[in-house]
Amino acid sequence: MKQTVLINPMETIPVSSEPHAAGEFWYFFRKNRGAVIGLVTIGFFLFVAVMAPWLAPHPPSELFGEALRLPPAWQVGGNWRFPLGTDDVGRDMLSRLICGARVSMGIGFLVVFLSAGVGTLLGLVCGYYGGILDSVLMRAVDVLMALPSILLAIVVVSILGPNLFNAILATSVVAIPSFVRLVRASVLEQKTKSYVIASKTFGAGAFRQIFVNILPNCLAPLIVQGTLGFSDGILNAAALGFLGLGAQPPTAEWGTMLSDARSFIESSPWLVTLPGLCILLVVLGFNLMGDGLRDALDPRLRK
Amino acid sequence: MNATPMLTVTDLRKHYPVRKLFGHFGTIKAVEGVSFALERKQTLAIVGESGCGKTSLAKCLMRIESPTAGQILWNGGPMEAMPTREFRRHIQMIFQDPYGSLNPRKKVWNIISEPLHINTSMKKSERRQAALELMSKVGLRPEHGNRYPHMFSGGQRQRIGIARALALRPEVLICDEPVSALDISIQAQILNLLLELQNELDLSYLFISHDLAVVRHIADIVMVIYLGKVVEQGPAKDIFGSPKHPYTQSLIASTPHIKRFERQQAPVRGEIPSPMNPPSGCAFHKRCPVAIPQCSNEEPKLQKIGQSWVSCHLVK
Amino acid sequence: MSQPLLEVSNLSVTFDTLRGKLKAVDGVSFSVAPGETLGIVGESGCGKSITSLAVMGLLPSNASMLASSFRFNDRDLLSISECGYRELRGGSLSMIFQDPMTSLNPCFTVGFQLKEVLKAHRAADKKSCQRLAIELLERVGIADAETRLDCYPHQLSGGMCQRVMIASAIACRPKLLIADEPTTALDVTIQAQILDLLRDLQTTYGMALILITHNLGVVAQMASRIAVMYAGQIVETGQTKAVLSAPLHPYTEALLRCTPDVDDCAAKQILPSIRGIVPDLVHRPSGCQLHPRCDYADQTCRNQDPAVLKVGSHEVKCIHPVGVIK
Repeated sequence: MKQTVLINPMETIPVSSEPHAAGEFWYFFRKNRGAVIGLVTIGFFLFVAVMAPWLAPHPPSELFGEALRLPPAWQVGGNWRFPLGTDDVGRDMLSRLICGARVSMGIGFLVVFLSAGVGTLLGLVCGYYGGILDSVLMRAVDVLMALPSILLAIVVVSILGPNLFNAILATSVVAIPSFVRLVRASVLEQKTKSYVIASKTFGAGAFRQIFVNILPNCLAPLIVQGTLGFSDGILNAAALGFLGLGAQPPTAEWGTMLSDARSFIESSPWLVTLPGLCILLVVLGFNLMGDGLRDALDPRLRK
Repeated sequence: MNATPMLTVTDLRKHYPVRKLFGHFGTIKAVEGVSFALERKQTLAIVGESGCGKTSLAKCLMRIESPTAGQILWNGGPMEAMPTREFRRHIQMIFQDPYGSLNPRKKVWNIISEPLHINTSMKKSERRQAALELMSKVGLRPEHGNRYPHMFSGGQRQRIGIARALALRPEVLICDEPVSALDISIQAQILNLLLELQNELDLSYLFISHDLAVVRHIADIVMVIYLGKVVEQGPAKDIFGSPKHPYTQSLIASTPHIKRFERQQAPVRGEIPSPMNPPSGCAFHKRCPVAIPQCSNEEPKLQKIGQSWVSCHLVK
Repeated sequence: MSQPLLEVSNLSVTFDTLRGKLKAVDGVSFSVAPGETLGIVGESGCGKSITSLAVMGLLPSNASMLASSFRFNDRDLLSISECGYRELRGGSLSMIFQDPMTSLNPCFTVGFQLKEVLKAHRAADKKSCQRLAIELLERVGIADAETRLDCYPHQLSGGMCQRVMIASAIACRPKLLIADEPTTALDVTIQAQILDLLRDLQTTYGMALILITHNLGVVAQMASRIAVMYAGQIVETGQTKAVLSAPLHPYTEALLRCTPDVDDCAAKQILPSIRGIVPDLVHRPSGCQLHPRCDYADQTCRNQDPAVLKVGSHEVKCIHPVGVIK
């Protein structure tokens, strides 16, 4: 009598034909229209930032004495030589905005790079080792988080001296705690999984466990926080610039441009609205994109 | 037949300190005096329900934790003297959860050859080759090596786990509930694979399970544990053919049989006691259907009855 | 022949997924008489849980359901509103789930959750809720019921939590209780106690029970009738003893053969197993769903969807049933 018997499983085990991870990710990301809009916006500004020297019609610091506070070209008194008008010392707004993009995006990348780098390292160590080290470091992080970020940044800059580099440093320090907490939570979750214990039984040392085994599994929340960190970084640097503690003249940076134009809000509103609009668009773009990334990377949030 | 068993464990104990209210320290006695001897090509099954200490036992044997007391001998020599590097080549482990025991970010061949990467100086191509050989041993195709764990089913992932455990050519495999999370038909495939590998590679298994039916099919020797203590231990055919301890009898009676259609009354009442608060005397006395007054006062000792060891006042 | 309590005819449930339409349940028909126990058996992915969710009206939003007939206690479930369903759920139609620790809300005491059900369906005042809650806990075998009411789920063991779940499920004397793998997460001795309790409650309240499990041994002792599911279809159904002692479908036969049994004296032998794995439900095989794994399969099995053959109360969906029929 026939029976269903064991046949060599080598021939008969099919592996599921699931779509490639990247394809699946893109499918969920695409579904979120806001995220795609965000991506496009950021892409646009990135392009502008990279191509700044070739896109700007005039050098950003060149003074045109004959064209002080010209309104944008479509308004009465405007001139298409200076499409978005000029500021109070005769510098072309469009060129300054374009070069400002380079500075601001650069700030965002640097801040995220620095804070994520240091924060991730601290989070990995705290999460993996635990104990006294964890307690002490986390209390320090708690203190850092308890202080209002902009005040802290101001204090740091005041100590180190007001320039763009110090503003970036200050903003990075302020952004570290969120990365530390995030990564630490991820590490704590992964540490209990059997694959980490299995690696331990094979003799994996701490370095291998942390960087080769656990870190790649903490990337999803890290990436999301990174994109949101961009917008925080740009906003903070802009705030510092507004207070005169960041980029110093004549460097074109959106925050400093806002600050310089304070007294002209009523008479030459474009001097304030245009840089403000740029900051708004970039921050909004990063936030939308970050939301979409989070939804696409976390299977539980997928609709 | 080897004269000296490969792995001899004598009176192993594992206690965990616990802080009770107001700083008073208590202890959880997770494993209390377990002894056994494992020979080549033999399967010793450790059976028990939650809280019986089987996971703590496995952790002590794998050196994930260190025992509080007791002796572990390897081929007659003390195991503690063996450097961990060497120890890993003798004993390895298969885990219960097929979904958590593989790193989701690594390719399968990488996962399987990880023990080789850490413990040998093999080149990448050599390791890859070794991984492919191991994969074919467990019934996976070469192209599976380049995929990620999430593309495989539970049974296939368990095969990957087995291949990984065999990478360092151990002599003993500790199998911690390897088929509990799998479907019946896949369970059968994995059990068959384990039996084939045992034959082919002369492996010994320490098979931890709560499922007596599965244990029936794979074990040579069975050890039944209740709240950290051995209640009955002996050849599988004796344990299943004529179980002597009331707990063993209850376990067998509680296990559903596919050929028995009559309604069976639950043989044991009451909840499994917590290891934080063990009952006095015999740990099982509160739930035992045949307990006598002596059982609540005096802890029974393990006695040899025929080829088995039983710890019960009613068995002489 | 009395009117069946639950009648399901040609039920299909399809999910809209990333990879396409997934038909989790494909033309399933069964019925449950009052006071009867029906066991639905199958491995993971066979659709048994989805079927029970469909009966309870708890399918997720991306699922679409079709049926020719779907009646419970003489009410048509196809045309019922969500309000009407909510009246039924917890009232005459109840369900308990697999993992008792996660089925209870960890933030509230057991008593609070139990009284919620009582307030919703029996509209009782505070005092009688308390009294009823204590009665219920005692009924399901929890000693010291009054103290237990103030316990949180994490303070109770798995078996106790499941008893609490059962208590809230039977609070309103349901006519039908669906138990989805109620003992899978429990220890063997506790499993026996819970199964005892379910049987006991059935006899006391005349409750019908649909027991969903992958454990054939559990179904053997609990169910009077059994339905075996594979790839979203019921492949065999009939009296439990008949199906399990003389199965007609190759899948049932293979499942029985590869189930290890405590009584089996042939220890340490290769277990006959079923080759291959369950089919991908998005790209289903043609004809009979089992044909890629079945040794009896031939060309007709590949091309034709098998019809349901009846032998008395024993039904099988197969072109070449095992044994007699030809």
